[in-house]
Amino acid sequence: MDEGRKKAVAVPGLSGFTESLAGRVRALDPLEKLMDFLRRTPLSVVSFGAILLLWAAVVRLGVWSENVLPGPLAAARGMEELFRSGLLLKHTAASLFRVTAGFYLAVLLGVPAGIVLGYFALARRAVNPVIQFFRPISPLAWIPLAMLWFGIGDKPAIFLIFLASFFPLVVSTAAAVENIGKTYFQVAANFAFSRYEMLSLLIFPAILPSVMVSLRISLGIAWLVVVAAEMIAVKSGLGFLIIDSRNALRMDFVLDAMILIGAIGVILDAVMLRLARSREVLWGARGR
Amino acid sequence: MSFADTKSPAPREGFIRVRNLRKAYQERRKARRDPEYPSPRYGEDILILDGVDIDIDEGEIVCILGPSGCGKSTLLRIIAGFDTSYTGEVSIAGRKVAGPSPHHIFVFQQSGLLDWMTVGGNVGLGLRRMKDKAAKREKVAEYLELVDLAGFEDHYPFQLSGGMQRRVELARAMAVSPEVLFMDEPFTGLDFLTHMRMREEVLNLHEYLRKTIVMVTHDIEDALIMGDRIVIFGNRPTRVKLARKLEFPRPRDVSSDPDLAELRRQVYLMMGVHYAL
Ligand SMILES: Nc1ncnc2c1ncn2[C@@H]1O[C@H](COP(=O)(O)OP(=O)(O)OP(=O)(O)O)[C@@H](O)[C@H]1O
Ligand SMILES: [Mg+2]
Repeated sequence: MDEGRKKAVAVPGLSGFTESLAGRVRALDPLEKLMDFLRRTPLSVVSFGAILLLWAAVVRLGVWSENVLPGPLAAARGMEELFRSGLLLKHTAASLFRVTAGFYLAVLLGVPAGIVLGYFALARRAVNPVIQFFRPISPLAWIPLAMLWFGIGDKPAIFLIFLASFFPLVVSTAAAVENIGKTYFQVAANFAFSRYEMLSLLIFPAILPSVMVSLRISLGIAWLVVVAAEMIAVKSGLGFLIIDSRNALRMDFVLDAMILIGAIGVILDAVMLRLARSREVLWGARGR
Repeated sequence: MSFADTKSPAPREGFIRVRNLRKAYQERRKARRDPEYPSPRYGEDILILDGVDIDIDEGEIVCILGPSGCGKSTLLRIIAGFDTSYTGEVSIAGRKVAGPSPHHIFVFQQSGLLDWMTVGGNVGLGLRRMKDKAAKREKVAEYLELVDLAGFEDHYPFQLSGGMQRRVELARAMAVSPEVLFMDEPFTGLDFLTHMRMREEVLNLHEYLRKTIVMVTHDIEDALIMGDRIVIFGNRPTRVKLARKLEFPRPRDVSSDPDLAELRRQVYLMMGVHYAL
C-alpha cells in the first residue's frame, strides 16, 4: 500500500484514482484504518486526546470528589463562565502585561550588559562571579524584598520577572559575544569599522542566532515566574486566579487557569521560534 | 601628506620593507617534563621569526613558501598590522605599520566573509562610505563580474561553495583598491580546477589593477607561476632561506621552460624533498 502511495506521487495523473482505491481497500481493515488515521492526524492532537480521556477516566473512577478534581466538561463550563464574566481576559491581560514589561526590561538591560561583559574581558572577570552568585537565587526568594521595595501591584511582579530573565540573558549574551570568531574582528579592523559599525555590522548580527535562543528560553522562565509572583504579590493575573479560586473552592477555575497558562506558554514559545527562524538569523543555521 | 603619498608613475622599490624582524610567542601549553625531549616551559618564549629581512617592490606578486608552522601566517599578520608585538622594523611605503588599514586588505586562511551579510553586502564592505548608492551597486557588480560571480549579490555565504566564497572575498578585497593585498593560502582546500581558475583570476586581477600582492602558499607551482618574487623560509626559528626575483616571461609553463624547471628542482630540494623520483 505504501508502494501505491509512492507511485501516486510519482504519477500525478493517477494519484486520485490510486488514492481512492487504496482508501476502499483500507476500509475493510479496522486496524489499518486506525493506523492511517494516526498517520494523518498531528500527533499532538492524539496525545492531548489521550490526556483528556485519562482525565475523564480518573474523574469517573471517583478517587477524588468532583469538588477536588472536576472533569473536562466541568472545566469547559468553567472556562465559558470565566470568559463571559470577562475575568479570563482581565487576568490573562494582566499576566501578559507583566511578562512583557519585565521581559522587555530584562532584554533592554541584559543584552547590552552581556555585550559589554562579552567584549571586555576585564569587566567579565570582575562581574561574572557576582552574576554567578545571584543566578542560583530563585526569583521567588526575592518576593519579600520586592514587596517591601515596590509595594503591592504590578511593580514587584515586573521586578521579579525582570530578575528571572535578566541573569540568564546577560550570561548567554556575554558567552555569545565571547564566541564570535576572531577572524570577524580582524575583518572589522581591516575595513576600519567605527564603534557603531562594530555593533551594527558585526556584534549584533553575529550573536543574533544564539541570543534568539536564549530570549526564547528566558521568556519561558519569565512566564513561569509571573504565575508564581502573582500568587503572592498581586490581586490580578492567572496566578492570582489560581489562588483566589482555590480559596473559593472553585477547582474548575484552577484547572482553567492552568490550561490557559500552558496554552499561552506554548504560543509565546512558538512566536519566539518563528522569530528565531527569520531571515536575519538564518545564517546561523550553518552552525559556525 | 608625505612623499610616499604623491603618485609616481614608476613603481616604488622597497615598497614593503622588513628588517631584522623577530617574533616570539609565549608557550601556553603545560608540557610534561621529559629529560629526553626538553620542551619549553610554560610561559617561556618560543622564537618563531629570527631576524627576517624582506624587500618587496610596488606592484609585485610575492609568494612566500616555507614548511608548516614556520611562521608564514605570523609574518603576514605582522606586515598587515594585526600583530604589533615584535621587534624590528616593518614599513609599507616608508611608513611604519601601526595597525590594520583599509589600504592593506587581508584575505584570510579560513573564510573571512561576514556570514550574516549577503555577497553584495560583503563586497560592498569597503564601499560603505560611498554616497551614491547606484554607483556603489554598480561597483559591487563590476567586481563580482571580475571573479565570475555576476548575479550572486543576494546570496548568503553559506549558500556558496568554498571556492565561490574565496572569490567573493577576493572581490571584496579588490573593490577597495588596496595598496597591498595579503593572501594567506588562498587556494587551499579548493579542488584542482577551481584552484587553477582562481590562480588565473588572481593573475588577471593583478594584471588589471597592478597592486602589490603578498601571498603565502604551500604550492611550489603556484609560487613559480605567479610570483614576481619568491621568498622561502626555513624551519623555526625562521630566517629567509632564499629571496629571489623571478624575471621569467608570462605566460609561464614550468614544463616547457628549462630555467623554470631547474628553479623548481632547487626549490623542492630547499624544502627538503626531491621533485623527480
Ligand atoms: N597565538 C599563538 N600563540 C602561540 N603560538 C602560536 C600562535 N600562533 C601561532 N603560533 C605558533 O607559531 C608558529 C607559526 O605559526 P604560523 O601560523 O605563522 O605558521 P604557518 O607558517 O602559517 O603554518 P601553516 O603553513 O601550517 O599555516 C607555529 O609553530 C605556531 O604553533
Ligand atoms: Mg598559516
